[in-house]
Amino acid sequence: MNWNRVLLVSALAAGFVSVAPSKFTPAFGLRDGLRAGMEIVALPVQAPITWLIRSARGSSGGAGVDVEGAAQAQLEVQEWKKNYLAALQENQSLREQINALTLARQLNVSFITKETSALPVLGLSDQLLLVRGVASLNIPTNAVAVADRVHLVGRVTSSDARVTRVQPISDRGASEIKGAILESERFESPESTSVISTTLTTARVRVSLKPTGRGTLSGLVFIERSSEPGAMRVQPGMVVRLLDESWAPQDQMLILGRVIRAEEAPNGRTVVEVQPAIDPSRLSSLTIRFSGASGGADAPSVPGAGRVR
Amino acid sequence: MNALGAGLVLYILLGLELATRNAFGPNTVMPYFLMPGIVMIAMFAPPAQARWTGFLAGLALDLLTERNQIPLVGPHALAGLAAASFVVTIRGMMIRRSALAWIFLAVAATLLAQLVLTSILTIRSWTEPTIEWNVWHELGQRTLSSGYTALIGAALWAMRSWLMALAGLSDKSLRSSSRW
Repeated sequence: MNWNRVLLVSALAAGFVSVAPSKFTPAFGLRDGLRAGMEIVALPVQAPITWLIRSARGSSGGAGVDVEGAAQAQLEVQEWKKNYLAALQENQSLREQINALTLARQLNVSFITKETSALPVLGLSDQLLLVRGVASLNIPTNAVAVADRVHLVGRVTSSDARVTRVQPISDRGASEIKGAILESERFESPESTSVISTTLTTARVRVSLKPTGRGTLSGLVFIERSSEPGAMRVQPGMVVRLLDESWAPQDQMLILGRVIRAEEAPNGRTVVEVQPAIDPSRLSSLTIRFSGASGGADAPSVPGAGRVR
Repeated sequence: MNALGAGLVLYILLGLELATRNAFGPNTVMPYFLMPGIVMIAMFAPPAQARWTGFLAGLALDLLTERNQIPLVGPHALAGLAAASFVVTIRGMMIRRSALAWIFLAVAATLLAQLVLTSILTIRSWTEPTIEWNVWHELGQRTLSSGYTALIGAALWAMRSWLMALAGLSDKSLRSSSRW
């Protein structure tokens, strides 16, 4: 027998078994038996040396203290803590989303629509957000991208199986957008993205916003014809929601951002600056809302607009 | 070569290797015991026997170790074969009675074996995602451990006359007085 050839074949077999997943090597169930045999064979020399080393380590590291076991237990505790905190954070995030969706649903009865699962943001390119595409879905142009289910991020400019491009509303090239500021709503804190309803009043003003090019939107506040002039004062921290006839009905009352500045212009009108509550450049994932009616100027008129009051 | 004696030497070294791994944990930097044994045999045994020894000793180690509860058969066997082949290839250039040659071959062959092992396990971690594998961490730890293996190489050199007699290995160069 040519032992060199046998060794070559054995080495090739070992190479295959080494890299192939376990499911492709069922015949090697035999190895459990071999393993048990080898363990028994190795035991006479292994056990005394293990005992000697452990004894030596035990006497130098403190009698009776299982240092390795303690370190392992500490690692496990840390892992459990990490998992617990992650679960707690997810729970909190889901509660906030439920509250935000409930609030939006109260303001716009047709708010709930089809949407994708959370899609990872791949990065920014030419001020467009690149989001992973969905091969099984035909995401239409002008579909609406949202973060945390209710924060309007922008509109889809193009989409294919690999990538979906989203133009943020704060992008310099984005079109003018109309919104509403409700007197009853505030952000929980300057850094928070959660909205709280503070009063029972339904007073609101409208605002027409244009991108400033600095990641914010700015524009003039105007009062609806049915409102009493001067009835409401716009303040930083207030919530600006989408209320624009050129957007689909189900997208009305999405959150555009927070008022960060409100000043009176020389002509007596109020100018506000609005910052998206979630910075698009720091997004890790977003969802795309879409329906047959989604998109642009040909979308039907907004039944919810003007009815909130 | 006396297969029984060589097997006994490797058996003791295998026991030492397993015992130290069990006592200190698999992710600790510590010397390898089995690989210098393979190197010692590969330095003096006929080429085919040297390669078979490396392969079988590695296979034994494969059968006695597992990663993430997955027994992996093959990686150590191939690593042992690679180390033995390496030593067989360059042993003609070495002064085999020198302690430095033993130490150098022990470290270099162990390093090569660990490179082979890391490569195989890296590929395996792609096909079997349940295996936790950080290639740079493993490579770093194995490289440092290979450096430590110099100690075992030196220890085997110190016991060479006894070990070689047991394993039935002989070399004319060793009959003259040993020197550094």
